[in-house]
Amino acid sequence: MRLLVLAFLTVALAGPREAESCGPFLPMAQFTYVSQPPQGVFAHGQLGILLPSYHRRYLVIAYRYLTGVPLTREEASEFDPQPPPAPLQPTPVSPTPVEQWLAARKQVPGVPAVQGIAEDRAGRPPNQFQFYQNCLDDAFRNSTLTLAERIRRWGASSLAVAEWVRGQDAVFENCRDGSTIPPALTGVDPLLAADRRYQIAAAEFYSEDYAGAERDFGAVGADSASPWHDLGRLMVARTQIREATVAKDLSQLKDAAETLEAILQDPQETKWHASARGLQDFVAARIDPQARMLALGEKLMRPGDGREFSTALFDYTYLWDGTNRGPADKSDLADWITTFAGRNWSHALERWRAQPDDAWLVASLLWVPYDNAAIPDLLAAAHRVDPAAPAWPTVTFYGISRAIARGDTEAARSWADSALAIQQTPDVHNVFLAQRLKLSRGWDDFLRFTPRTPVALNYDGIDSDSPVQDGGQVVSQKTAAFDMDFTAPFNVEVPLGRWVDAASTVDLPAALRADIAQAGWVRAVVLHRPTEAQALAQRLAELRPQLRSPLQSWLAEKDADAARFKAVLLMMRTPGLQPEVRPGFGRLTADGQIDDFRDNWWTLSEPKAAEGTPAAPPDFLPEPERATGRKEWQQLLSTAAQATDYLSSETIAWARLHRDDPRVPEALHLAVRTSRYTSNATPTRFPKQAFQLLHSWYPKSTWAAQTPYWY
Amino acid sequence: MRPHKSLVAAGLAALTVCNGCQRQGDPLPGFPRLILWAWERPERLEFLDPRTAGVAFLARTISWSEGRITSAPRRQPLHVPPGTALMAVVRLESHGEPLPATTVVSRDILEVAAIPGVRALQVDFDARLSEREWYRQLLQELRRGLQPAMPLTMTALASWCQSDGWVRGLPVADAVPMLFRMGAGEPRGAREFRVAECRASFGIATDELPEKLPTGRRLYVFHPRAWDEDAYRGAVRLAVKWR
Repeated sequence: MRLLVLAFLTVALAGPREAESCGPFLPMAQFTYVSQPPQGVFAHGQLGILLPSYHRRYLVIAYRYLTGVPLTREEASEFDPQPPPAPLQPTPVSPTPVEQWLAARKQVPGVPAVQGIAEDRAGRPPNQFQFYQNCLDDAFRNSTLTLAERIRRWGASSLAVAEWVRGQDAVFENCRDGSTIPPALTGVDPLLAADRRYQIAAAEFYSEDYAGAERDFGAVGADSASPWHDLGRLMVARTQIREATVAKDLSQLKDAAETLEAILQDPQETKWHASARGLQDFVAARIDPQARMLALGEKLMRPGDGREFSTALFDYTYLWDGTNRGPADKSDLADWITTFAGRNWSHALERWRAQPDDAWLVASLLWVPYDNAAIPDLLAAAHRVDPAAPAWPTVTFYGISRAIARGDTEAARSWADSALAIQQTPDVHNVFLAQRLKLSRGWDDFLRFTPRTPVALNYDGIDSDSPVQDGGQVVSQKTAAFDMDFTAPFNVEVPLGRWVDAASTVDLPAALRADIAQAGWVRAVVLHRPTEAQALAQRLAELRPQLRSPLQSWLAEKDADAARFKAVLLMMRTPGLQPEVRPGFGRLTADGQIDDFRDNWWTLSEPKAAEGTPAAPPDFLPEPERATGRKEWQQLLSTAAQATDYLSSETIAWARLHRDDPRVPEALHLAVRTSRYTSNATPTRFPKQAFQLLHSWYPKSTWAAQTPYWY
Repeated sequence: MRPHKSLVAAGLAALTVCNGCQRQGDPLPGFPRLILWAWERPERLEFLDPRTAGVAFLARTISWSEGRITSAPRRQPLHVPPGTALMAVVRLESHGEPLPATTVVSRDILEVAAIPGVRALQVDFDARLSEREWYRQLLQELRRGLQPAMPLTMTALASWCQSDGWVRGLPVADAVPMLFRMGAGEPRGAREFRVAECRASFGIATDELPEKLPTGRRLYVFHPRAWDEDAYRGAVRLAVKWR
């Protein structure tokens, strides 16, 4: 029972989890978010219902709000721009820094052509399978800028510029492999000689001669006449860092840390202080990730600049992901994230007792077992949270879950009703509806709390939390849907008489009533229930205009057997007709069209209990009625588990008695077609029989010509 | 006695069928029957027994879009025990025409074949219909550019091995049918594929295992996360099961 909350999360929140998908990577509706809430609200304080599966970057932000340190406008906007940025438009391809450099050097006559430059270099054995980006974009940008300046000074056709380019070519030859060091120059323009000394150090750097590079960059830094003089010490630090990372010997980073500290202490090098600080953070993160995370955590808890917040948040979660451990023993932030995501209920409760804020209330309500003596205190605290507070949806949801688990049904129902009366975002509303559905007091409740709003989608479990719009026009138009907490009991335990009622209730949107009328009509036909079938056909004709004409024709048929065949023919002409209501987006193709992924007609099976499904469905009908519903379901399974068999056998039976009926050849063709295009259909004798009858009785018909195979 | 014509015809037909079904010699001599695909993530495979499993590691990804090629080498570490049979895999990703010059792409692919320790090369490209001739030309260039003893293999959509058969005659030692993450219209389930080039191996994923496989093939196994010892042992069990 301790996992009741997780059961809720699985069933009520994760959306439909059908045992079999209807095709590869088709959009599946979500009624709340799994790991990342939508853009535009969360960072601005609308936290919704926090889940332990949320990515840590959201948990950091949640902790700020839950502890009364809301994000500043700059921080929130930097993380989560409002309005969200427009989708990226195709932009003209702009040249890369390498391409810019190659274009720039073409201005210089007489230098050898260079086709391209590989920027990556293989690691040293045993790391030869891993490449690293040896020459970074800035190297090419700076070369391009420096060449332009030298051309201005000496002229593009000058010997000095040609020599400079040759030196730079040698530098970049080392990007991919090898060790090409340009020769030192004497007796030339002092600037060219100074440039060459820098080029030699750079070539050593890229060729992994780090000792040489450190020595020669140091010399450049010591040469006050060199234009690269002020860059020398920073390049020494970069060399030390590069050597440590390429050799994977992080102990060498301490040298880099000392060099960077010296730069930061030197007012002469103010120009490079920002770069040095960035490198210092890089070094600190690798020397002691936990200490760096601790520092970043402290920074994240201080309201401040948006850009700095985003950078710190990225670094913090990057380091946590890399080490898979946060400094929980030294930081409240990391402690809360670890506890909230990690089920440690006793620690959560201990922290809430010591520090009764919303953050620890949320963690405690989530994880403390429902029968723990502290639960009444936690529930009381949850009730005291202001509905305007960021924590309110979360504590309300977990509080109701705990009340349900404790058997406090009346209290839970009243709480859920109050929660639903407050306007919330659709995902939060969906969750409260799910809770309230579980607490249904009867049929009306069951229908009233059923409709959900899809708020996101995934593709067969992949790319969770994608915007609904990504699923295309058909999906975007499905603004109301069933979840499994309705469809599972409805399909299996609700008798047909109630289907007629549900197809007319004002508590359901028209699209959902149409789904019920459609599935109910097929079911009623299969079960030989003409009264319900006619009532549902009338409802369906009103709700789905495209089916009005054939349904009215069916309704006009007075002979029971003829009506039955007419219904079968309509079903075979309409691949979207099925005897079950479906959760989520349902079928994504128009009723009359064959679905590309064989989501056509039906193949029924006993529903498999999804992980975490509550054993008992809501108390929505008296037991005798539910027993009737179960009996009808079993009858449906025994009569028409496979559309292919049912439709083919009904067609064959009619055909044998009415061989002259001009509709029979088409019906036989359609019977064969159902076996071709129905998902999960198992071949039986009926399609073959239909095929044989078609070709033996009507060999010259157009329908026979259209039916070259049976399946 | 002269055999009856129909008997001769039947015998020839049987011979033809048998030749068609016959498995050729091992296209990857020296490689174990189990090969782990090591994708672009840190992979520490020191626990692997080189006599039991080889490694096909993603060495480079070459993509193109609007006429620009991006060639990204592996940036993640790969650790294997000494003696492991290694195959470099190059993934090609096309974002539409124009297709790049095959000479440019083959040059980058051949580079990875030169990585010390690599004993075979595999190209992974879900070529569209319009890209097949280009792909064929690329494979021919690669075959010419490789050392004769270096096997060239490719991954293959199951449909290539079954229904359209365009893989026939490509200069590859092995075309590995990928029986996972399949798209619409792909033939599901393991089977004896019609195309001879596809009969030496199967590609499967640990999170999408087929119920059964024809035995006696080399098994390439993809794992959706970094390999660990448990996943490795599971792959070994699969290889034993379908030995």
